[in-house]
Parts: sequence; C-alpha cells; structure tokens
Amino acid sequence: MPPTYFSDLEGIIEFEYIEPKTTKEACSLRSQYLERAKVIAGGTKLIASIKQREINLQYLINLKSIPNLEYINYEDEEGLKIGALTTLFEISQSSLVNDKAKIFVEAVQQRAPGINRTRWAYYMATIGGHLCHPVSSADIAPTLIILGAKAVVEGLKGWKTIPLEDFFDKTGGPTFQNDEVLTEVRIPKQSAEMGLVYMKSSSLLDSPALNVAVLLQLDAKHVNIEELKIVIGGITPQPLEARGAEALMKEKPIDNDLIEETAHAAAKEVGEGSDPETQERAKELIEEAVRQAVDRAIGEFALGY
Amino acid sequence: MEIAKKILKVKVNGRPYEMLIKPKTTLLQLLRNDLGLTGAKQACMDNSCGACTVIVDKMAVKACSVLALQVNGREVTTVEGLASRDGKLHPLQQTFLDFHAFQCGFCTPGKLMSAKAMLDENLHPNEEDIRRDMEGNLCRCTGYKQYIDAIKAVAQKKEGAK
Ligand SMILES: Cc1cc2nc3c(=O)[nH]c(=O)nc-3n(C[C@H](O)[C@H](O)[C@H](O)COP(=O)(O)OP(=O)(O)OC[C@H]3O[C@@H](n4cnc5c(N)ncnc54)[C@H](O)[C@@H]3O)c2cc1C
Ligand code: FES
Ligand code: FES
Repeated sequence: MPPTYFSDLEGIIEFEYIEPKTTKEACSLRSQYLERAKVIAGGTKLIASIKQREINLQYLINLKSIPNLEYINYEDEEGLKIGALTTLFEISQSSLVNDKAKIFVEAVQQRAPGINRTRWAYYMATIGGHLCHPVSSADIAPTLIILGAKAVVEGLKGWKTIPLEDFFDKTGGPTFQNDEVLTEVRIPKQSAEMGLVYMKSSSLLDSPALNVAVLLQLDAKHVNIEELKIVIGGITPQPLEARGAEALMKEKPIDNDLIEETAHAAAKEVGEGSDPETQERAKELIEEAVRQAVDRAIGEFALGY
Repeated sequence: MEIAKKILKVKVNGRPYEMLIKPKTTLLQLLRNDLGLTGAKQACMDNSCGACTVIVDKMAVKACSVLALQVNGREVTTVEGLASRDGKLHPLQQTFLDFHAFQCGFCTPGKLMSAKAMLDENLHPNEEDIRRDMEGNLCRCTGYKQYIDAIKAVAQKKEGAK
C-alpha cells in the first residue's frame, strides 16, 4: 500500500528538474526520456500523483519556464486562443472569455464549488494540465467540445490541431505522443443564437460527479431544432458525445416527450455498461440541461424582437 | 545518479533568499527545515487539512503540496510575517485571541493565512463567503464558530475604518 498519511516526497527517489526555454526543447526532452519524464504545469495533480506513488519519475520538465504559453487572445477569424499554461483562475476572470465563451467560464467555476478547499488549486491549475489529466478533463472538456474547440499540439516535427472530441483516448488521457506538448486551446467564434448549457451533478459516495454540456440551435423560423450537441463527462473516462440521441431531435420541433426520450437515449448510449442508477442520474441531468438549452435558445430569439 | 541541486530565489516575509535545494523539496520542507519557520504546520500532507497554508504572492497555498521550485521568483508570507516588526499583532491575530478562536493552536497559522488571503481579496465577505473560503482549513479541537465570528469582526472593522 502506498503511504498516504504523513507522506512527503522524502521517501521517493530524487528527480532532476529541467527548465526548457522553448516548446521544442521540452518535446525533445520528452522524446529522450519517455516515461521516465513528466512535464509539470500547475502541479496540482502531478505532485499528488508523485506522493501517492502513482507515477515514478526521474526527470521533471517545468513548462512554466517556457515564455509565452500564458495568454488569452481573440480575433474574429480564429476566435479565442488560450495558451496551455493559462490558469483556470485567469480564465474565469478574463473579460474576453466571459464575453466570447461564457459557458466555458461557467464550467470552470463549477469545477470547484467549495472554493477554498480547491482555491489554491484553482489559482495554479492550468487549462493544459486539466485537459491532459484523465478524470479532470471530464469537467471542462464537454463545454469545449460543444463549442467546437481545438487543441494545438506541438511536437518535434511541427504542430497540429486536434478537435477536442478526438483529444482523449479510452483511458481519458490525451491521444498525443510522448514527444508532444499541448500548447494552446482555440475556441471558434460562436453564433449568437445558440442555447448553451453546462450542468454538473455532485459526486455521490461511490459514484463520480456527472457533467453535461448542451448546444441547441433553432432554424431560421425558430420552429425546428437545427443543431444539437449533447456531451457527457464523468460516466466514461473520456467525455462522449451522444450522437445517436442527438439525431432523434434534429430537424424536429421542440416537444416535451421528445426531450425526455432523447435524454433517456443519450444516457443509455453513453452509459452503456454502467449501473442503472448512474444512467438514471445521467438521464435526469441531460433532460434538465436540454430543457434549459431550449429556453436559452428561445430566449435569445425572443430578445431579438 | 547524482541529482543536480537547483538555485531557488524567493522572498519570505520580505527577506530575500537565494539557495541551492533538491528539486523534490516541498515548500513546506523549505520553510520548516531550511528556513526554520515552523509556523506552517505539517499534518495531513495531502492538501486536505490546511494546517500548512501560507500565502504565495496573494494566494493562499497548501505548502505541503507545492514544490519549493514552483515558487521561484515569488513572494511567500507565513504566519511569522503577519505581526508587524515591533511585535504588534495583526488584527486577525488579535481578534482570534479576543474571541478565544483556538485551543491547541495547531490549525491556527493556516487559518490566519487563509483568512488574510480571503480578506485581502474580498473586503466585504458575508458569513457564507467566510464559511466557503475557510472550508479547506480543518480544526480538531476548538470548532468553527469562534473563528468565523472573529473573521467577521475583522471584516466589519475593516469596513468601518474606510
Ligand atoms: C484541492 C484540489 C482540488 C481539485 N479539484 C478538481 C476538480 O474539482 N475538478 C477537476 O477536474 N480536477 C480537480 N483537481 C485536479 C487538478 O487540479 C486538475 O487535474 C488540474 O487542472 C491539473 O492542472 P495542473 O496545471 O496543475 O496540471 P499538472 O498537475 O501540472 O499536470 C497534470 C497532468 O497533465 C500533464 N500536462 C500538464 N500540462 C501539459 C501540457 N501542456 N502538455 C502535455 N501534458 C501536460 C502533466 O504531465 C500531468 O500528467 C483538484 C486538485 C486539487 C489539488
Ligand atoms: S498538511 Fe498541507 S493540507 Fe494538510
Ligand atoms: S485549535 Fe486545535 S486544531 Fe484547531
């Protein structure tokens, strides 16, 4: 059993602390040391994992030593660009993010309702660290997925973008390679007439917190549902989109029974293999979120008059 | 393998330090073992209890769960830096005394630092804000009422002084 009480880093082996000056250098260190090395961003998860002997490392690569990875910019064409080392605190305080992707701020803030317990973690945790650590990713990734966000990943051979829905593997970890580093998250410009909702349930003793993010857009006549995205985190290690269930509502008018049927189908689709109680909790959460998304989509329309 | 020590530059309670440390040194070890500042306490060590809370720049941080190298170039304030140099207690310290807000005192340094960070950030906390913001600081003997009253009193005094 790993010691969990009075455990400090004393008992673990020494590690080298490396401070690269460029992303390329960080990637090259990663490819050189492979699983013997880890990168550290805010460290709010990593230090705990080292203490609990979940990971064993010989090299710690500090990403904070790389200049220019902490920023929030916006341009109409490319939308919001958030540097991977930007902290969740900076994101929630940013007027740009509040203005252009409010729903994302809502997700960040709900991540830790009992603030001080997690307050320091909130100040230090970075968006990159959050997305690169399984479990945590479930918290904020669903909103990023409905917003159509992309991750910018840099490696030795150059950089590429990965849509957030393809960013996670079945374990919930990032799909990119050992010699790559997440450097930026991009959120495209959003259309004004969308109903966006993020909801999170509290965790139960033996059951994790569930999250759901919903995007709903009505057609030009405001009768049929033109676009619908339902992404659920917390049931499976990686957040999942309930594509089958979404199809039930698309192109159809808003209907009370259909919302319930869709929520039920979404919970079943994503919760396959999980216990009926979790599926029921998911269904209730999805149903509530879709209803609110409908209200918000109609609300935006009503305001247009 | 011989592990290279790293240079750490940090200001603690206004005093600059430059030293060579092992990378795995936590901020709490640095303060207690290397600098002799034993105000921040060592207890759960897994960021649950808050006994080790200190302030880094403006944020209350659990020193047991942060590497000392992570605060390189920053400014740390511990409970030893709360009172003024002539020994006059900080209003929070004085009010904790006046309100009998501690018995054994083990949790007190952490509580004081969390409360200071909170009051520096939020000038008008109501009781709910205080309860929420102090949630990460556990007390095993006094209970919670007295110190919440104490923090409320300091906040009100601050407001009155403006
Ligand atoms: C008190 C407390 C409360 C918490 N509450 C929550 C919560 O409510 N919800 C939640 O989801 N999580 C929570 N966490 C977990 C933790 O805060 C998150 O996982 C956090 O977002 C991690 O960010 P970080 O910058 O600290 O990452 P780190 O701990 O530095 O890194 C996390 C992982 O990501 C890797 N990594 C980091 N950045 C990059 C990058 N740019 N490219 C590639 N890999 C990278 C690291 O190697 C490591 O494996 C909590 C933690 C604490 C201590
Ligand atoms: S000793 Fe750091 S939180 Fe308990
Ligand atoms: S006063 Fe003893 S633990 Fe709080």
